[in-house]
Amino acid sequence: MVNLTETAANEIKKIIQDQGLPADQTRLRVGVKGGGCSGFSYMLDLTEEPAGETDEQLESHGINILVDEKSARYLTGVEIDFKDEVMGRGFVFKNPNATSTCGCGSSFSA
Amino acid sequence: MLRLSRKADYALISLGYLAEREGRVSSAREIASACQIPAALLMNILKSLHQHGVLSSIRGASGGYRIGIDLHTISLLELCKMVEQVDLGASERLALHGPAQALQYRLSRFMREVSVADLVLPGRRIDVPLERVGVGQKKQAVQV
Repeated sequence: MVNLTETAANEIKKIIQDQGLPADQTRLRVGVKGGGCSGFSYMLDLTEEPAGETDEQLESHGINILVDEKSARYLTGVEIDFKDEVMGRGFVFKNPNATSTCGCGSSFSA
Repeated sequence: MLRLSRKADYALISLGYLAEREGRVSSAREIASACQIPAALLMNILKSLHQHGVLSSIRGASGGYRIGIDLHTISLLELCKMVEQVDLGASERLALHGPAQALQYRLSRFMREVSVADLVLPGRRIDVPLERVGVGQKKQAVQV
């Protein structure tokens, strides 16, 4: 449902290593939260917490991913890439569900 | 804190809105209402963008604007000049000295290197900058 590109997965692995997190217990929580001028913003969080009852568990390029039930409906088919360019370094969401995004790029509506 | 002018911000929001619609014509009123931008100010901004060829316009009852240029070819600095109608080159020559002048040069260079496409096209934007990735937070981060 949510996929990481290989570049994004490698960057996540690098963050896990740099932060000294236990590789086998660390999960990437992907979600959306309310707010922003267009509705929702994306979130990425590395956590050692186990999956909750309502979380969907996925795996992409060796990264365990958690998506909570509410976020899942906005994230179906999303691919997460990583970019390192003049704009900065960070993760780019390619979301087929987003019908509009705001100019600041930090939020979208579905 | 350093930030873009309101006009530049609204110009980017409008271009983002039009970019999502891939060639469909949208009126200034539609954009103003959808993006919650004051209509009168937006009309002036869109007029400037049209005069510079960034937008093309269709006249008539169902008329409006659409993107008329490859957004990779305009820098953020050029866009700011278009909507703010000031000679940023001249402002660089104002009485800035030492650290402030050095900073001004760096900011101008950065704004020249960032294309408008980097900021508004879907799949080009950085949605979660590296420093915003949460690490080791115990609390469930996602709430809708």
